[in-house]
Amino acid sequence: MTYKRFFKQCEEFSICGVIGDRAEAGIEGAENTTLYHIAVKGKGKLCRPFETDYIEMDADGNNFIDEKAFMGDYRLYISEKPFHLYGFNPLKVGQDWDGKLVKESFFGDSKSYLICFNGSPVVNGIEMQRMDYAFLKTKEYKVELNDGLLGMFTKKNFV
Amino acid sequence: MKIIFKIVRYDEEAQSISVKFCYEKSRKPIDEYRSYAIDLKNLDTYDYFTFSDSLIRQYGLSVCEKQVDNLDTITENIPTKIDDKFEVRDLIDKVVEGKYITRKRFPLKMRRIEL
Repeated sequence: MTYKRFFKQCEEFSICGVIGDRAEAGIEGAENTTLYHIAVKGKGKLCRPFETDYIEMDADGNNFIDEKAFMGDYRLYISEKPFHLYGFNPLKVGQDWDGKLVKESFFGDSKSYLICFNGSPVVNGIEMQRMDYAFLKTKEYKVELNDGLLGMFTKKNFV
Repeated sequence: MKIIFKIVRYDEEAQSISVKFCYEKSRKPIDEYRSYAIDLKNLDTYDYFTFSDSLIRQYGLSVCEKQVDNLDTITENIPTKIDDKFEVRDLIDKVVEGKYITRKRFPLKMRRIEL
């Protein structure tokens, strides 16, 4: 059985990752600060323990989950098959970020990071690999997605 | 406890290193510990963090554990065996082994690039 957790602290945020080779359930405590989860592989559910409402996560569908509403609560994750997830976290409690998937070319700003979670998208002529990231500038970014998974995260309430 | 290491030899041709390990708080200088030959192909040389993580997880932890195990335990510190039936009051004034569960987390490889 494989169940591995990963972590990297970058300059202004951190990324956690988890892979498992079978269906699993895991619970995270109320101190967890993950703002977004990105599903690269697998399918599962996210909910608060003992509640019937849940969010479906699916690498082939709803693969970018905003979890701000769960902040301060326990989070229960249940996967239905082998999975691979990444989490985007602030460095300090209270630091807020806006996150979204990038599907097409865009104009960047100096408050955002672009992270490649999967595939080999080409941005401004540079092929990104899984877990490459870049701090953006105020200029145009030409994106060829090539079935890649690109997330953009923008600082909201801090410098 | 922090583990420290010192690479005392690097054989570029054989791609191997000789490394000494000990706990930072050791009462003995690291140079007085024996060194271990380690094949670099067994380590993750992607960057310092992955290198250190693979070196310590695969070698340093067990070497330092052995160093401590080889020390004598003073009689007063020998822990009492705890019964299956647990009551906090039964632990009062006893020397008890502090067991805990570790949550392993591996370094995630990320690369910052310019676009």
